[in-house]
Amino acid sequence: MWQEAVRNKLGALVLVGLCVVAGSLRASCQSNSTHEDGSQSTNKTDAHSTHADAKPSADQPAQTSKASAAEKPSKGKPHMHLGTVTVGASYTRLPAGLLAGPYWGYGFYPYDLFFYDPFYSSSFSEPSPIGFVDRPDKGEVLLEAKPGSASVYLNDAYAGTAGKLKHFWLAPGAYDLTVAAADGSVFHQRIYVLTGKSLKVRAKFAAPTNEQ
Amino acid sequence: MKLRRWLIAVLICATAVATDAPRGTVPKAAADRYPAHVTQDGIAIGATLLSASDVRHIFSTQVNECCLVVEVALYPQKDGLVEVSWNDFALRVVGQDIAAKPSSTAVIAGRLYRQAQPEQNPHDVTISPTGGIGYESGGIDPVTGQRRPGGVVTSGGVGVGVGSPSPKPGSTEADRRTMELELREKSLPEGNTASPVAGYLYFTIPPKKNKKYQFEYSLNSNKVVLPL
Repeated sequence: MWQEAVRNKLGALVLVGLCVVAGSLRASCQSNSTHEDGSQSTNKTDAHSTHADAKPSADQPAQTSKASAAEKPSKGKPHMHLGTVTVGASYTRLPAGLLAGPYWGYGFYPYDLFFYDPFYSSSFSEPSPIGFVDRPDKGEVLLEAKPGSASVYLNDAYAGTAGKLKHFWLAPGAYDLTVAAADGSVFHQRIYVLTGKSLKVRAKFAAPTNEQ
Repeated sequence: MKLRRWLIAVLICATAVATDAPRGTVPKAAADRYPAHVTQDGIAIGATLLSASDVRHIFSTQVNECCLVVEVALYPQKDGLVEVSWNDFALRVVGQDIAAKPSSTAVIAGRLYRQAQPEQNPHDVTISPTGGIGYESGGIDPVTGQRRPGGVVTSGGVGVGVGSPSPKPGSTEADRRTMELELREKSLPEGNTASPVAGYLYFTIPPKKNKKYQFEYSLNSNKVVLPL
């Protein structure tokens, strides 16, 4: 008897969700090319402030005209693209007398427990709890640094620990990324974030300098 | 008091200019560490043509889509001074008459920005179909108070969006500024220098396989040629 009651209560908590994204088939699919840190860091100490701007050169007529023809944006009739295809499935078992929240009778209400609502986590809303939604106007930084307790600074401002900032989004721009470990070793790199691009940064700590 | 304000203003401007200036890269220990190197009139020059994978590792900007990138290092002789000017460098495809001078970072950033513009019409329609299936065991409906039988619940829908779905990398104005900044900061610094200096030069020559290039440097009205 009590077993059945427990089973019923447990059944109320069981929600099996299965979500299959068939794929984002947008024509302008973003390229998530990554690049590692390597030699990206520039030499701050060797800064030369003699000339701020480079002079343009105008001696490539053939290549320029060819390129401009290729770069001409296509203007024509509107096209139709297939966007994200989302399929969801769920199972809910509730004991008699228990209904979590009002039942609206419509499958698309976000808080309807009886049905996984694909719209709620599709690209029509943000942020997504499942992670299907990207940040169309930001760039992604994938930071790999050990130990996870190392402090991360962006433009000299504390941003958090490396363990919690393995993956974050930034507006396009140049940033001074500094990762400082507890033993005094520091990693510094100037990063350039572009919209929709993933930037992989592997922090290699420099040994702490022993200054007397 | 006025003088002090002026000094502060000048300091701020100088700092802004200095942070925006090319920084270049760290020169290697000697010019012979570069695949192509030569010494003339006491000035050692080292150069290397970056491969596509090198460019991808070094730059966030996809500069290899339009340009060839050459890393150049200049080593003035002791107590000597060398004037670095982009105008003294050129890249030539072996066997061709036309040589390309380094392109300005603003031009390259603008070109990449234009290439990244979405080709879609702003009136394009994007369709996102959704479907779902669920099963519920039933319960008491709090609205009607009656027991609601369980069963299979299905639903479907179609989302329709008008316009380009999302911008491509490098397609926004902020991206253009960032690309220009990155290219400028990593470029070969111009001006007089008494210490070794290194940086990248960008040539608007579409990368092609099996092409041989030669790097030319005009030094005191003498042409130095480095096969890359």
